[in-house]
Amino acid sequence: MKTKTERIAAVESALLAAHRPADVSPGESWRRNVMREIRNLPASESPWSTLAVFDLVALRAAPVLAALLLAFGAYLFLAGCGVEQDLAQVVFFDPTQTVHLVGF
Amino acid sequence: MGPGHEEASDAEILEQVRAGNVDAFERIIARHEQRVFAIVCNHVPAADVEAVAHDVFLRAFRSLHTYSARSPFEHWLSRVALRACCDYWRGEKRRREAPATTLAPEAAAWLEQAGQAQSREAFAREGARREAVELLERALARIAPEDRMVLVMTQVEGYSVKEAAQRLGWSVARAKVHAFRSRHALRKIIERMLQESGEREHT
Repeated sequence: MKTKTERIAAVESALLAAHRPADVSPGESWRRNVMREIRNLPASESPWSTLAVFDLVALRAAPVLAALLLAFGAYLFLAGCGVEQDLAQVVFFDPTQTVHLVGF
Repeated sequence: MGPGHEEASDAEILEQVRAGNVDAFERIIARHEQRVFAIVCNHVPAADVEAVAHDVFLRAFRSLHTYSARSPFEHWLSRVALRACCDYWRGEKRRREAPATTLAPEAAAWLEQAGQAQSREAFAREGARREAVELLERALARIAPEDRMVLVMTQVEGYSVKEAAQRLGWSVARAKVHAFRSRHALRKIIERMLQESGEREHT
């Protein structure tokens, strides 16, 4: 009497032996249909359409751009460049505004 | 073909296609259709082979700009074909969930018999029966498309995991994970089937 694991292994082998590849061959009419569809593809789906080439360039450039952005972010973080702080200084410590207020 | 007339290479034909001669792509199809059909026949039911092979060449044409001539064209095309097969099963899975029907008496009897098989000849004999084909389809329908592809490639077609990874354009680690998952899933499904056939016998 076989164990459960042995029975599962035996059924697995018999099932995998049951796999049959389909028996279909390409025909002339099939090839004509494929070519008809390819000829009728809109220009936007052509492999060398501007959009397709842009996609390819954008995809290849994406990692580089992401790395540059990260590096720039790290630089800003480390350099302590606070844009908001500079703006606040311009608004609250504007010498011309101070003169105007004093005059009023 | 006259003497001295050398047949154009894939790269030369693709260059013509690139230059706008779409008709030249027919020569690419004629040259590679047997290989593509062989791949698709191994993974897709006969009724859908032509449609999937059709899709393979359309995809290949649309993404020709992504093919770099560093690797042979047939390797790139094989990957396109395998991905198309994988997408076919994703679509099939969405369209119809695996039926949760109970085992037919013939299938249950087959499981009992196959469970006792000992030799390679006995596995082949049991595998040749109609019940085996039906049960295999039933089991494969419950396995994730990627796992199914790897299972057929490694357990039926005889590719190593590394070869399957290369053909699918995956990392070896990814193929290993799918190979492990697929075997595990198949054994779980068989276990449930055996349980069901055992329960049927007892009632």
